[in-house]
Amino acid sequence: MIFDSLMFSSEENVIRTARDFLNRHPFADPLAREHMAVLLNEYEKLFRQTMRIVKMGDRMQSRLSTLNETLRCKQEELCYLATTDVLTGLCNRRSFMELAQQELERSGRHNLSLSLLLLDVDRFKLVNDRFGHQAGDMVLKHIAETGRSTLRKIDVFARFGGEEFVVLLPETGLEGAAVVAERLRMNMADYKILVGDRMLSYTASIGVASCRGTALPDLGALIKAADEALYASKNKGRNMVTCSPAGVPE
Amino acid sequence: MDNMTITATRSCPAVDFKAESGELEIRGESYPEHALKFYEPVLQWIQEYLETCSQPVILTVDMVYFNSSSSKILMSLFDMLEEAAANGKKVTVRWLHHVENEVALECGEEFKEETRYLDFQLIPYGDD
Repeated sequence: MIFDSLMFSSEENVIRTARDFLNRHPFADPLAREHMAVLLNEYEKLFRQTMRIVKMGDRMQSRLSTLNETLRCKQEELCYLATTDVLTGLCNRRSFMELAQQELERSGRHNLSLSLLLLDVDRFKLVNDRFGHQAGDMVLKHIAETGRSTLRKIDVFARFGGEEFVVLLPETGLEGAAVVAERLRMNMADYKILVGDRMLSYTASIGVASCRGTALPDLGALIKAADEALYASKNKGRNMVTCSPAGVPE
Repeated sequence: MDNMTITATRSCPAVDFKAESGELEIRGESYPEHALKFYEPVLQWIQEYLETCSQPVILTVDMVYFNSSSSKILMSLFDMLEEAAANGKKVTVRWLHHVENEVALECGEEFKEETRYLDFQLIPYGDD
C-alpha cells in the first residue's frame, strides 16, 4: 500500500476508522452497510489515485526543472560560442561590434573620448608557412594573452578576423591610446619561442583612431580611420604604431 | 464502428483508434487547457467500443509529459479497460517509455499498480 505519507495522515485515519467500524459494528440495515462499503471503497480508491497523481506530478515537475536547467546551460554555452572566438577566447567580431556600438553611444552621451586600435600580425602567412599552423595559432594566442595582461578591464579586445585584432579603449584620447598601442607592439615584438630548432618571433602593426563625444563618427568611420592608420604602419615598414590624423577633435 | 483519429498539437496527444483491429494508440504530450473537453469524446469512443465490439483491445500509450488532469483521466481510462478485462475481455495496455526517461517508466508503474486484470506492459524504447 502507498498509505505511508504523513501529508495524508488524516485521510488515512478516516479510512482506518471507517473500515474498523464497518467490520465491528453490525448494521441493522444491510443496505446501509452496503452503501457504506461502496463509499469506503470509492474513497479509498480516490485517495490512492490522488496520492499517485501527486507523486507523478512531483516527478514530472522535477524532471521539467532538470530539463530547464539543462536548457539554461546549453543556452549559456551557445551564447558563449556565439560571442567568443574559440581559439583565443576573445570576443568575436560580432560581439565586438555590439559592445563597441554601446560604448560609442555612451561616450557620446557623456562627451568622453574613445579610441580604437586595429592590430594586424606582420607577414603572418610567413609564420604559418615556416613554422606550421600550430605555431600560427600560438602567435594568435600570445596576442590574446598580451592584450589580457596589458589592457584594462573596461577595454574591449576582440579578434576581428584572421590575424587582425581590434581594441576599444573607452575614456581614452589619442595620446593615451598611442601609449597603449606602443606597449602592445613592444610586448609582441619581445616574444620568442623555440619551435623545433628554430626561434619563432613575430611583430604587429597597429593603427590608432580616436574621437570625442560631440563630434562622434559612426563606428564604421572610426574603424575605417584606424584601418587607414594601420595601412600606413604597414607601408612604413611594419612593426609600428600610426595614429590617424583625421577625426580627432579633442 | 468508425475509427477515431486526432492529430497531435503542442499540448494534446495524437489519438489513433482502429475499430476493426482493436489497436488504439495515444501518443504525445498532454496538457490541454480543458482536459475533459479533449478527452470526453476519446473516453466515449472507448466506452462504446468496449460495449459493442468483442475483439481483444490493445491500447498503446506513449506519453512524454502529461499534467495532473490528464493523469486523472488516464486513470479513468484504465479503469474502464480494467472493468472490461475483469469481465473477461482480453485487454492489453502497452505503456511505452524512452529508456532514458525514468519518470515515464515510474508513471507507468503507478498506473500499472492500479490494475489487476488487464495485461499492463511497460515497454522501453531507444532512439532508433
